[in-house]
Amino acid sequence: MTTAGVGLVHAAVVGEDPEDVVRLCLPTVEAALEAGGEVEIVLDRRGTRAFREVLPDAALRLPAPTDVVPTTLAHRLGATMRATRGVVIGRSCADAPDDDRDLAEAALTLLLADHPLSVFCVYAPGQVDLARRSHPWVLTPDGPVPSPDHRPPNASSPVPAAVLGASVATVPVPDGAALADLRARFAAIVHEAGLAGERADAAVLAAHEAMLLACGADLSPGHPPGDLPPGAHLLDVRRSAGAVIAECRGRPTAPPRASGQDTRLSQLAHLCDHATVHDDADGRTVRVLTGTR
Amino acid sequence: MTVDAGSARAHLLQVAESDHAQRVGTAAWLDRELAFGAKVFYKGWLGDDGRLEKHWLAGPQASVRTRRALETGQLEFMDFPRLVDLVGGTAEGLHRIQAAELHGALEEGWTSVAMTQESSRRPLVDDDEVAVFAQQEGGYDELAARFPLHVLCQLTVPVENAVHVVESLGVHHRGVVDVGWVAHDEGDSWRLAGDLDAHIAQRFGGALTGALRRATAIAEEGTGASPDLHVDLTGVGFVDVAVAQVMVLAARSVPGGQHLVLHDPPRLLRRLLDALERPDAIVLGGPVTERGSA
Repeated sequence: MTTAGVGLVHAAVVGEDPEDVVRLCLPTVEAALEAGGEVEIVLDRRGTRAFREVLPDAALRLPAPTDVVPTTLAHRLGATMRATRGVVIGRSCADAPDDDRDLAEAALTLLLADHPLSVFCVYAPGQVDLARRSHPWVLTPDGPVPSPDHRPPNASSPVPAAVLGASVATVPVPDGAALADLRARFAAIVHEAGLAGERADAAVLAAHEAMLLACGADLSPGHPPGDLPPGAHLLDVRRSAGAVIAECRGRPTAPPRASGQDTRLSQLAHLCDHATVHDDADGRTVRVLTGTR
Repeated sequence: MTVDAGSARAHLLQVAESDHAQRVGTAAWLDRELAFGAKVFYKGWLGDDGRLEKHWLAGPQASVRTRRALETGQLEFMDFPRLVDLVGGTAEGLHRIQAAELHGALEEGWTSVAMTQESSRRPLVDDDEVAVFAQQEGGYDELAARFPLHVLCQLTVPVENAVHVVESLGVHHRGVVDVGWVAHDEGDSWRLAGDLDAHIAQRFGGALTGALRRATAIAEEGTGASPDLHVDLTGVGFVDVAVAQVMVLAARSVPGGQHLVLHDPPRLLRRLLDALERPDAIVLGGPVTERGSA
C-alpha cells in the first residue's frame, strides 16, 4: 500500500532524538518543497533547529512553539495548519492523557481526511504502542506505511471511536420484524456494561424508539401507530468506559418535522441520559446515550 | 414464525407474515391434531389447475403423517371456490357446512374434529361484511363450546387488506398466536405474553378493541358482569410507545363506566402511559390473582 492518491497521510514519527526525526521526515519534506508545497514545523527549539541545520535555505514555516491543549486541537487547526497541501510536523498530543490524545488524533484524521497533506506527529520511543494505535500511518525509513494497530472509524459511522466509544456491534434492521433482534442484541450489551433493572429496560426501549424515530415511523399522538418502514436501516452500538450508545440510522420517507412539532425526541430523552437527532442528505441519525457508572 | 401453541386451544388465530411462516405453523398444528386422532377438514386455495397434488399439503412441506392422512381420508381438503358455492356467501350457509362436517365425522366414530382454513382474502369492504365475517367465526365458537372441536384460522398478513387484518384480530382476540406475542381468554382475564411493539401495534389494537367490545357485550346481556377488561400482562416482556398509545386511544373510546385494567404491567409501561397522559379509564393493578389491588 502506498500513499499515492490518498488525501491526508496522518503518520506517527517515533524518533530516538530530533536528528532521527529529521532523517525520517526528510524525504517527504524535500518532495513537498520541490512540488511547491508548504512545510510547517511545530516543534520545540531543539526540534526546529535540527530541521534548520539540514535545510538552511528552505522556505520552512517555523511558528514559535506553543502549548496546545489536545482537545481544542480541532479549533487550533485553522490557525496553525494553514497549509492545505504540504507537510506539517509537530508534537502536540503525545504527552496528553490517553482519552484526550486519542480524541485529538482521531479528530485530525477525520477533519483533514480530504486534504493532500502529510501530518507527522512526533512521539518518543517509549510511546510506540500508543502512537501506532492512534495513527493510520507510521513513518519508517522507507516512507509511510499503514499502522497495523490503528482502528479506523466504523465503516458505517464517521464518528471517531474516541468520541463515542468503540463500535461493538452493528445490527441491520431491514423492517419492523427485526426490531426484536435489535432489542435482544442491545439488551445483551447493556447488561454486559453493568446496567440492570429499570435503567437497563429504559436503555433498550430508548434504542428501540430511536430506530423508529430514525426511520420516520409515524407515532404522532392520536393516530394509529406506524410500523418501521422497510429499508437499509442500521443500529451501531458503541461502548465507552462510561456509557452505552445506540446510534440508529435510517432514511425517513417523510420530511423531518420542525423541532417544535415533534415531541418524540423529548420522550426519548426521558428514557436515557442524552438523545440527539441529526438530519442530513444521507438520512437521519438518532443517538441515545445511557451512562453506566 | 413457528407455531405450536402448546395445549390445543379451541379456536385459534395464527398470524403469519409470509406464506412460508404460515405453512410451518399450520404443518405443526396439523401434525399434532392428526397424531391425536382427529378428523381434520382443511379449506384452502388450489392453483388455477385445481390439483391438490400441487398444494403444499401434498408436498414435502407437510409431514409424512399429513400426506398419509390425505390418502386415508383422515384429512379432507376443500377448495375455497367450492366452499363459496356451497355456502352461498352467508353465515348460515357456512354454519350448515361446519355442522355437517362435524356431526358427520363424529358419527363415523372420530373422537375429535379439527378444522382449519387458509387466509380467505376477503376485502371486508363495509360494516355488513365485517358483521357476516364475525357471525361466521362465531359459529366455530358455538360448536367448539359443545363438541370436541379445534379450529385454526390462518391469517397471512400480506394477502389481506388492513381492514381484514385488524377485524380478524378483533374477532379472534380470545385466541391469537401472532409474531412475537400471543393472547388468550382465560375467562376472568385476557392474558397476553411476548413483546408488544410498533411492528404489531395495529394488530394488537384490533385484538384489544375486540376484547373491550366483548366485555361490553357480556355486561349488556344482563349477567351482572362488569364491563371492565382485565388484562394480565405478567407474560409481557416489552411494551413500546406505539402500543402504549394504542392502549390510551382504546381507553379514551370506551363507554363510560368501562375500564381497561392492566395487571402486573412491565416496569416501564407506567412511565409511558403517564407520558401519554393516561386517561382515567386505564387502571394499573397487581397480578390477576390479587384482583383487589387493582
